[in-house]
Amino acid sequence: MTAQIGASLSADDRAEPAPTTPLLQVRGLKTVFRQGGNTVSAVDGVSFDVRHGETLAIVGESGSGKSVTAMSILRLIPSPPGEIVDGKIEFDGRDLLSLSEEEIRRVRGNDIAMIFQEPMSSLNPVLTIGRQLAEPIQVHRRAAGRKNILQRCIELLRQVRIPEPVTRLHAYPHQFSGGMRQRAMIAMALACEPKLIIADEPTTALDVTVQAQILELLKDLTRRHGTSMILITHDLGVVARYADRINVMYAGRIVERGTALQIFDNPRHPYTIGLMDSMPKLNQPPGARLRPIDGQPPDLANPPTGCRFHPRCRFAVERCQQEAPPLEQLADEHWKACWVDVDAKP
Amino acid sequence: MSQLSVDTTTADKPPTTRLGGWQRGRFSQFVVRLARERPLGALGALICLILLFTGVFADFIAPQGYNAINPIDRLKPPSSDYWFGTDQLGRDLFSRIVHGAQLSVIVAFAATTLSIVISAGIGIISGYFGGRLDMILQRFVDGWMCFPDLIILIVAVSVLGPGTWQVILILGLLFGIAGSRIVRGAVLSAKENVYVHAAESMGASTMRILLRHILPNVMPPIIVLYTTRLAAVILAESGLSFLGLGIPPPAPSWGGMLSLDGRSYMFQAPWLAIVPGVALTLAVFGINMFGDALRDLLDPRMRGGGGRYVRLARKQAGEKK
Repeated sequence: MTAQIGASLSADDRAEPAPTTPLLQVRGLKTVFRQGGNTVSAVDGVSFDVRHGETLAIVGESGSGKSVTAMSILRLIPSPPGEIVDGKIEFDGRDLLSLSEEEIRRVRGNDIAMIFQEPMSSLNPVLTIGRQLAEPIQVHRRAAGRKNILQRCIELLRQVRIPEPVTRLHAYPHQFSGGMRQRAMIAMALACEPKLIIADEPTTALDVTVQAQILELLKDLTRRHGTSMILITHDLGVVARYADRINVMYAGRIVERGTALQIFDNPRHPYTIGLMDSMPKLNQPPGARLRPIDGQPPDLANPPTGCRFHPRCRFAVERCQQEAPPLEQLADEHWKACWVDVDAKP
Repeated sequence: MSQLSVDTTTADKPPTTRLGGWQRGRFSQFVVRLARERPLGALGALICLILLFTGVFADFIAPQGYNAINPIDRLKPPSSDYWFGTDQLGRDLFSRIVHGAQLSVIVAFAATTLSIVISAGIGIISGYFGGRLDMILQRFVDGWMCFPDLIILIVAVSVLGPGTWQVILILGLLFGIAGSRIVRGAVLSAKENVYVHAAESMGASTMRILLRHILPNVMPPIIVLYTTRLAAVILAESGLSFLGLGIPPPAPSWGGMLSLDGRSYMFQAPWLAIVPGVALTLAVFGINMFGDALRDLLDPRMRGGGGRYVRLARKQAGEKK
């Protein structure tokens, strides 16, 4: 794959039978931020897999550690104050945490690409779209000639359905709309045909119709290239439609995991149940009130003992204050971390 | 303008367009825009060009050498023989001003370039890497800025001795270290931009991030710094020569001419002060105006014309009709 940057790569990948080992295995990941004398454990022992070709959603409220988990995978945690203190991240047979700085740089953008949540500010305002699109290719495929790179950029813009791609190469980011900028970001992420895309709230800054377009595009492209995706969001509507499996995070831990159907139809963790209750439903009688989750998210510098959700939990028992519950398997693919057996169905 | 023709009809044919870079036609378009949008900047550019031209071809322009003494024609007012008059030794003031332009151009550009390289270097390293390195570098800068400029200059000159290269070195260092604060401040805000994190997340090396993402985004303050410093260096060199610490006579430094000859004979021969003074003022004014215009025009966000993209899009729209 010297000068070849095009579709031949993915064609080879697809020809192989689907491997049984997951593409990405995260085990016991612990990331802390030290500030003054405090240690904030933003991610506290998170384990999950991303399988080949699947879209895994990580949902949770602000500060639940979704983004930190994603940044930890690419080792983009600013250090100091941040530090990955424990855990193992195995990607495609390699332990990402033990790679040298130079080696992890070769993974970034090449094997794992990232899409950020603010398309308005994630493009460099003084470089044209074409130059920025070319950047990942220039970094990771040094042998590719100018013509090939240019050709690839145009093809990428076409893939993300930006009309008149040749002209648009010369546009500056401020000449693009928000949706187009996010398309350009997606094109950049796809440039080196990564095996995994991490999309950190890719649609939060966009309006609803554009959101749907962008998500459809992402879904379509990942499916076509067989790319896996980690979709980080706090929007449950997005998750229901575009994710294969869901990890629900609360205060730096995964509290429930399941397929989209399991999580929405049969949530078993009190926090997930609370999330579902606080969402408006179409079959709700008019005037009915939503039920919020009481209380505030915990201070992670000083987290509650035991289960981190217990101060806000309707079902909490004494054991919840003392011991943190492990993730337990309920059914095929369905796991939860709770001592109490809660059934949400009334 | 063959590069501008863009092929969008056939997908398979290699497109006849390029990614960025300076291209034919782009420079002339820039000149047209400069003249149309910033007439004062264009005037400044003209002055800079004249200054550069005079400096480079001083030997051909000046009718006499800068130290050619004509004992009979001392302190002559401007005439057809001596356009700007003569000084107390009968040297042709026009020739001295022309040669002085050469000296000023060399000193100003060399010292300013040195100072900007130092400013950008310290500022970017200090601002981007932060932490302990930033702490150490900035305390060093603090210490340096504690001393009054004049003291540093006097000490440095007494150690190195007067002369052109000494002046360049000292002024470059003096302005460079002080200016690093401005660059550092700009870097501090630029590095927090999401596009810097995005570049990191796609595997760009630190060097690449610094040169392609940080540096272009701190260019506006650097350009302003460059032009204000250019003017300041010319003035500082004059000041040094005024104190006898600059470029020693008989070298025709404008500042030296203003102070040594101009001041002494201000009443008998006012042109000795007026001409170098006007030359200095014009040079400083021109450089400042040009720098201002340059900063505005080079920033794609402030581009009135919208750049190549808009021109291409318009052209395409025209073709469709």
